[in-house]
Amino acid sequence: MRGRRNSIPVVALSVFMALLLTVVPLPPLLDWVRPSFALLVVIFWSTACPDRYGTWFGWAVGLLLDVLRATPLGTHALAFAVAGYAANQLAARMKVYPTPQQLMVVALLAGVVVVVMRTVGNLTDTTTASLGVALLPVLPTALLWPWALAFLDRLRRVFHVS
Amino acid sequence: MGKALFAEEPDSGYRLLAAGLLAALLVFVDTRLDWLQPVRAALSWATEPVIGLADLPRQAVVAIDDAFTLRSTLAEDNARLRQENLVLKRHVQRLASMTAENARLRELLDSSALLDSSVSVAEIIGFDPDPSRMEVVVNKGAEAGLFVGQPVLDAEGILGQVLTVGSGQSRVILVTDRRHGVPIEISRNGVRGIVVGGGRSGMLNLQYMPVSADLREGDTLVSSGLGGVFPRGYPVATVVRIERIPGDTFMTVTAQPAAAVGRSRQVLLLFIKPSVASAPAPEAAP
Repeated sequence: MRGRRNSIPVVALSVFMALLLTVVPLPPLLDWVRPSFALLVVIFWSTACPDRYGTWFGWAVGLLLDVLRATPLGTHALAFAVAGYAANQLAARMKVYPTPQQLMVVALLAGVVVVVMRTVGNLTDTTTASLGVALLPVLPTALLWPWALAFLDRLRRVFHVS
Repeated sequence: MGKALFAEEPDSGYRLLAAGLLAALLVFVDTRLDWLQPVRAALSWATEPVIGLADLPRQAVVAIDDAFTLRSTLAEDNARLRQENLVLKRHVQRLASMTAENARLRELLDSSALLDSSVSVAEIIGFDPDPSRMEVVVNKGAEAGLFVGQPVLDAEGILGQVLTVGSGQSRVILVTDRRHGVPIEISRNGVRGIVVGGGRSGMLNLQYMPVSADLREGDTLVSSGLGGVFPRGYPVATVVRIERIPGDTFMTVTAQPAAAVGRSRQVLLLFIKPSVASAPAPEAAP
C-alpha cells in the first residue's frame, strides 16, 4: 500500500523529465534523431504498473506534448494512447523478454506512434516532414530503452512504487 | 485490485476506443474551430516551466559572461553604443520631419492616416525540437497582451508572427517556415508577390513571379500590408538568386531574410491597429 501513495509524484517527475529532454536544446544535427523520451516513459509505466498506467496515461502525456509542441490537440494524445494500450497489453511479456526483443517492441511502438501521428497530420493538413525524416528517431528511441529502463526502474524502486 | 495473483488486468479495448475517439474529437475541434485555445492556455501552466527550465543553462552562461566582462570591454562597448546612438538619433530627426511631410501629403491625397504602432520587447527562450518546423518560444504571453497573428520583428526586419499564446509564453512561427507566407512588394517598383519560407535552408522563396517581371538580384522586398497581418513597408528579404528557366511560367527566386533568423535573441512584438478590418489570413498556403 505504501507504494500506491508514492506513485503519482514519481510518475509526474519522470514525465516532467521526459518533457524537459524533449525541448532541451541540442546541436542541430542531433535534432533529427532526438529519441522520444516521453514514449519511453509511457512504455515503462505501462509495463511496470499495468494495473494503473496504460491507455489514459499515454493519452494524458500525449496531450501535454501537444501543448508543448503546439501540434493540433489530440495528435500526440491519440498516438500515445495507442502506445500505452499496446504496452499495457504486452506488460507481462515485456518482463520476460530478453533485451533484443524488448528493443524490437519499443521500436515497433515508436514506429506506430510516428505512423499514427502522420496519419492525423495528413488528415488535418499539418504534416511538415517527410515520412523518412519522421521515422529517423525510431531507432535511437529503441536503442535508449535499456538505459531508460534501468533509470526508471531504479527510480521506481527507490520510491517504492509498485 | 487486491487479488494476489494476476492482479494486473490489462486495459480493455473499449478504453482505447474511448481515448481514441476523444483524441480524434480534440483534433477535429482544434483544427476546424478555435474553441480549444482556453484549454491550451490552461494546460500551458504545466508545460511553460519545462521550456523555462530548458533555457536555464543558456541564461546561466549569459549571466556568467556578463559578470566576468572586463571593465575595459564595457568601456569600449559603451563608447561604441554612444556613437551608434548619435547616428540613430540623427536618423530619427530626419524621420520626424519626413513623417510630418508624409502625413501632409497623405492628407492632400485624402488617404488613410498613418498607423499608430507600439512595440514590446521579448526574448526567445526556446526552439521547436522538430527540425522541419521553424518555430520559437518567446517569454511573453497573454499577460503582456500578445495575440495570435501578432507581427514579430527584429532590428532588421520581419521575423514571423505569433502562432499560439500561453499565459507567460508564446509560440512564434518564423518567416522561414515552409508553412508561412508573407505578402510583399518589391520596394523598387511596387510589384507584388508572396514569399514563402524555405525551411531549414533559412532562405525564402518568392512565388508566382512571372518570368517577365521586373526583378533583379539585390532587390529589397518589403511587406505590402495585404493580408492584414503585417503592416506595410517593413523589410522582409533581399533577392539573392533568380533562375529563369526557358518555357516556365514563373521564375525561381531565392531571397535572404532581412531579419537575423536563428541569430537574434531579442524580438520586437508589434502592437498595431489595422486600418482596414480584414478577415484574418495569417498564413498564405504555399
